[in-house]
Amino acid sequence: MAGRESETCFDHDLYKLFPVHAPRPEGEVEELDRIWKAPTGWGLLKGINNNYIGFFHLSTAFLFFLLAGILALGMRVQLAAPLQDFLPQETYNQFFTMHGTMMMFLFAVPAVEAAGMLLLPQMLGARELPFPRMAAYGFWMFLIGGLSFFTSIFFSLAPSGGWFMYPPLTSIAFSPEINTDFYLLGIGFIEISAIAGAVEIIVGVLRSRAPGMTLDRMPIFAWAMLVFGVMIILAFPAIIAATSLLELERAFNWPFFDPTRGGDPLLWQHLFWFFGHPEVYIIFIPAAGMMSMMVATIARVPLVGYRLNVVALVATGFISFGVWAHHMFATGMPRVSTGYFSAASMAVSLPAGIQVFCWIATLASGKIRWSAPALFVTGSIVTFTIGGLTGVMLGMVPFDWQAHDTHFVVAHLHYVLIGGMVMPLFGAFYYWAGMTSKNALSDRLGRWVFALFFSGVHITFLPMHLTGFLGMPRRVYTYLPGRDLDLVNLISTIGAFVIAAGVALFLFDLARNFRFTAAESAGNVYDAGTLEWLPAGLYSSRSLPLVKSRNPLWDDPDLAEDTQEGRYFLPNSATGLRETIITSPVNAEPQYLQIIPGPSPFPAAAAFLTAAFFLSLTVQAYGFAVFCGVIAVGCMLRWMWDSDPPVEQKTADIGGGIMVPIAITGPKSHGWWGLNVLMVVMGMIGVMMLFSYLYLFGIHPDVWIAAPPLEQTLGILALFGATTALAWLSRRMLAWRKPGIPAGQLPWITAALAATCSALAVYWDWSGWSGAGLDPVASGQGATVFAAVGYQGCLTAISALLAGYLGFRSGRGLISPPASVTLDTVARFIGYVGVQGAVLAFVIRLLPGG
Amino acid sequence: MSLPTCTASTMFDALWGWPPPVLDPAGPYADSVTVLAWALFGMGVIVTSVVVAALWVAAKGPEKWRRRLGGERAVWIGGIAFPGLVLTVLLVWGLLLTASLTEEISGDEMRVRVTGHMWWFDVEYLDADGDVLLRDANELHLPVGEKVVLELLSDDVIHSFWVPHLSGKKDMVPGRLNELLVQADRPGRFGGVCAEYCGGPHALMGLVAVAHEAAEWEVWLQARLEGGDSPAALPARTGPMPAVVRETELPARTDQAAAATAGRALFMDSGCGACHRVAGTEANGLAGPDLTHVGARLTLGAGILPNHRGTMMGWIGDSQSIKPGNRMPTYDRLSADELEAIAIWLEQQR
Amino acid sequence: MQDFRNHHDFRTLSAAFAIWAAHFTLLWAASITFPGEPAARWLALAFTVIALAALAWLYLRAGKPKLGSVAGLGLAIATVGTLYDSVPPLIG
Repeated sequence: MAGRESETCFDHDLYKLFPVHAPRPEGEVEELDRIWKAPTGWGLLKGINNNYIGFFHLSTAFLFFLLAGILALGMRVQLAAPLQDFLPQETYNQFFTMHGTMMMFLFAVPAVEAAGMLLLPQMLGARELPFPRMAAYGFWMFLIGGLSFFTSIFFSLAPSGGWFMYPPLTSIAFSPEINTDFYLLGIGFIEISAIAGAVEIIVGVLRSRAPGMTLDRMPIFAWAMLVFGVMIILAFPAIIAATSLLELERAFNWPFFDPTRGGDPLLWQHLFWFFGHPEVYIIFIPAAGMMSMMVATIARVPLVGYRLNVVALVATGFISFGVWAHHMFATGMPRVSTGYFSAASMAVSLPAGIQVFCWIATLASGKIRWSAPALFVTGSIVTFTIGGLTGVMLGMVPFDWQAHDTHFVVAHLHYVLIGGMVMPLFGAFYYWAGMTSKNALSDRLGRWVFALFFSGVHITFLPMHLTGFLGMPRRVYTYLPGRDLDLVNLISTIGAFVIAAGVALFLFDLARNFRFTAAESAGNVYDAGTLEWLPAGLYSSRSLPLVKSRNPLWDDPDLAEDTQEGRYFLPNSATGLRETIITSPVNAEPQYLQIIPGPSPFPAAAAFLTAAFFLSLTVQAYGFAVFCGVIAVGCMLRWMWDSDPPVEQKTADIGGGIMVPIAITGPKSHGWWGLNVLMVVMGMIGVMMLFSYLYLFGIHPDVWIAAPPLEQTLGILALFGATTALAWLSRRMLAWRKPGIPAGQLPWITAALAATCSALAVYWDWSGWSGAGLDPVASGQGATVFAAVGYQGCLTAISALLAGYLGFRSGRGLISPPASVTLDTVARFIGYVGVQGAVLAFVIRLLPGG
Repeated sequence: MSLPTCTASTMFDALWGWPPPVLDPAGPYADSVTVLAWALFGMGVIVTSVVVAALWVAAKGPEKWRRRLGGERAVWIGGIAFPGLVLTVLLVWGLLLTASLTEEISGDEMRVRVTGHMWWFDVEYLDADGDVLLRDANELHLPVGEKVVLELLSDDVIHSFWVPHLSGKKDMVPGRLNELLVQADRPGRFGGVCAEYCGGPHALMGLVAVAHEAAEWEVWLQARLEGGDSPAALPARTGPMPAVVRETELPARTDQAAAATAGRALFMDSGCGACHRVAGTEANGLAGPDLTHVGARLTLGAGILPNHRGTMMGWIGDSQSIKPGNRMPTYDRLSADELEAIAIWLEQQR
Repeated sequence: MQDFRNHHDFRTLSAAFAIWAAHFTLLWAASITFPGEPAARWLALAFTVIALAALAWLYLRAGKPKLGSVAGLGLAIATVGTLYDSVPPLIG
């Protein structure tokens, strides 16, 4: 690789220095052990290392799989025969709602996300992903939120409107109890946990890979997690917006979904499925990444069609955003519209076909070594193929009109999700257990687990296709006798218990063999070729390898020993702190050394209080909610306080005498990238708000009133413009000062002024619409306008808070020229808020009205 | 649950069960989809077999075959070219079929307005001007061979109208009017259900579609129109009954008429008229199903019970244990005799 | 297949699908803005022509990548997706 290939002017000839054979000083490993030591006992609440937080996250997700599975068994007993009395109607309705909600929100997404956080640091050859505190916050919130959400079922407070929560059934008129609020708030904030994880994963995959691990050499699982992360930040804002709007309708009677006042029930369906269908691929893609990793090891050959597979992952990620309305073919959409979603549903099958054939070709090109993961992988290919085919069938509008909302769809989605995600995950449990456990799981038991699980799945769900054709709809708590539905349902129930037996056997295997450890793991039992199998401690491998191929362990037999002996990058702690190398996004050239924050009680505290905030909102304890919310924000700011520590040392030797800077600012820094990702999230929420407004205008233009006068709009735009300009100015001010001289008060005061401008603009916007006679309760226009302005108001409040935080740091002399990460972050955030505010205000005031 | 045992009774036999209604079409709007379903089933079997066979080759096949399968070429053929071809064909077929199933509505068709309620269907037959000709509930009668436009509405939450023998389903969305074309080409009784989860007893919300031969249809319609227009003809109507209307075996009781009169009084005194309408009487409630022709219906409780005196008595007395959560209160204060009297009177509302 | 030698393969891949996504969004927006009217179809066809031109421009700009390359396969799938989306206005 010549120098001109370089992405960052890094001299690739320096790679030739490695492995360095000069002996390393004594005591470096001990120092690493000391620095990365995990807290024990109650101290674990402070723990923030993805190696074990990721493991806790995955275990919690698996717990919810078991609980939701038990609910499914209850439902299958109820449906074993017609007119059974096992579960009363309302209980059954709560069970199916909870089963779906938990499997999707509390098991599937968190499980694959946690698997990513657990595996990625070592797989990428990083000490740690860039935002471990955010990951810890995400985990604790998931744990508390998930458990309290689940507990609602014991008090008959669980939601019963289905995981899709269609209004008006879930509106206050037809669901006056707080059960629905448990869903809207309980699930709403678990989404925040998912987004926190996505930020961590996207920036981690792009910026903390081992030197030399170009995008083209990245393990396919990392590719999958990258696509997964991007899809989360694009799709989850839709559900956040949707649940917020429905909660606003329930709490304040704003008629987003009420057709009598210019709302529309289908608005919810669009928002929900714009999240809901990509969600399915969000679940499938990481599992497909695991499959691609496992097939290569099983056949012990490199993955056939690696790049085809990468294109397939990216293609799936995009096209899956064009299929959402195939859940709505029966709602009476215009015919041409249904055609587009049908076409995209066909197109999205192409990349799936590529992946399946890549796996088969890989298995064929090597020699399969049969093991539990191998069985799960082949079982998954068959099951997923069947699910994919029924998916193609459902993508055809006329067929969907018959099969939609029947047990045929139940069969289809279980084939896809079990074949596409659960079976690969079980395979992955066997495959990767050796990385985090003292003993590998028993391969012999694993084969039995597979046999029971695989046969159970097909006994349960294969007959269900017929059940649907026989006319049995979904979400029914019972059915009538004499309709030939008895036998098929009984078979499905038997199958469900066979699945349960398989899962129980897996639990037995876990209990017998699984002993969590980060440092003394069983090791590479399946003889895989990727970096997660290097000998490792909590700091990953002792030195971070130089990556020259896709399967470095296969291609360089000495790699394990060389990294262990510290012959590669960062054989010690260069600063005496937790740290990892940040590399460039495409070619992974070392750029700088990131100081990683250590254990802290504040992420967990903030998570507990955020959970308390949302749960008190649910039970309408508003005072207590505010109290918790304020302290939660305090905890978050306190943890941010440590994330930009003043560092005396400016450069560090990362091995071989290569010096890189420490803790840089600006567009190359990981913090900058993290904020970019968050801006996408905020922007998507804004887009959803605009979509809601435009959509309702399209349906009910008759209730629209004219916008306030143009001068007002221009004034508001000017204020938002000033917001952005002042925010930019505050950042420049620091650069103008001479290095070494404290920043003074000017930057933060400018930032605070910017936030004030935004606040004034929001106030003017709100009062202007009120003055024009718009009422949020009266019409869909009012509801969507004030929701958008309110959203802008929330971001403005955060801006003000951040400006204050900046002032506090300035007061402590922690903002120093020429640049500061904190100032960068605050100024860019406020600048973004100004731009978004201008766009929202402008577009909303653009539409005509009578 | 104390739903009376109704094993494969004569009535339900025709409504549901084997052969699967999706594969047993009774009209043009279901026919072509059945063909499609079989074609898709064939495609599914073939593709699954190909994948399983390829896996078998990968695992156990001869070295030569495995080498062929083990490269990017196999991915290009099996994973890109072949699916691309199949998907393109399916896309075109699907779109053409969608277009033919939703062909233009000329405006001359017979129109029926079906409104979803929690948890029953209101059925109104419209005349050429769109005015209501006839109200009924949970039953859709239509002449064989004639295209019928259903105007689908909802009064509360989202429901979905689905009679698989006749056509695919279509949602009933509050604030929207959806139109669905149906046509039966053979006489018969076809079961239908609400297919969109609508809370509570969604599982027990059904209906029956009845297709009549043309001549029989005229008789049926005339009988209905007379029944609705001239309630004074009640209680005991004689004369020819359409064959399709279930013959109720009325017990040989001399005081039939007296019982009916008493039942009518009880019906009014118990406040049934607040929710139910019986044309020609003071009962004019609109919250529940119209009972003007309830005696002629095939089912009770929205397609879940056969309609005879016993089930009618059970339904009036304790509908909550039959269909928990439905909007009708229990009338356990009425004695068995009183229930029977009401049932006798309702039986005569044809 | 070719390597990801530089930013451009990755960018071409993303840009191709971004064109698909924009095309899809515009077509759908047209179809719900003018439900059941010929305008939806004509707009759709016009957008399709523009999208195909954009894809062709991208193909040339990327240096006519081979079908087997990352950029080439990405362009191919995005083009198929775009063409699929142009079928409904023609026969749907």
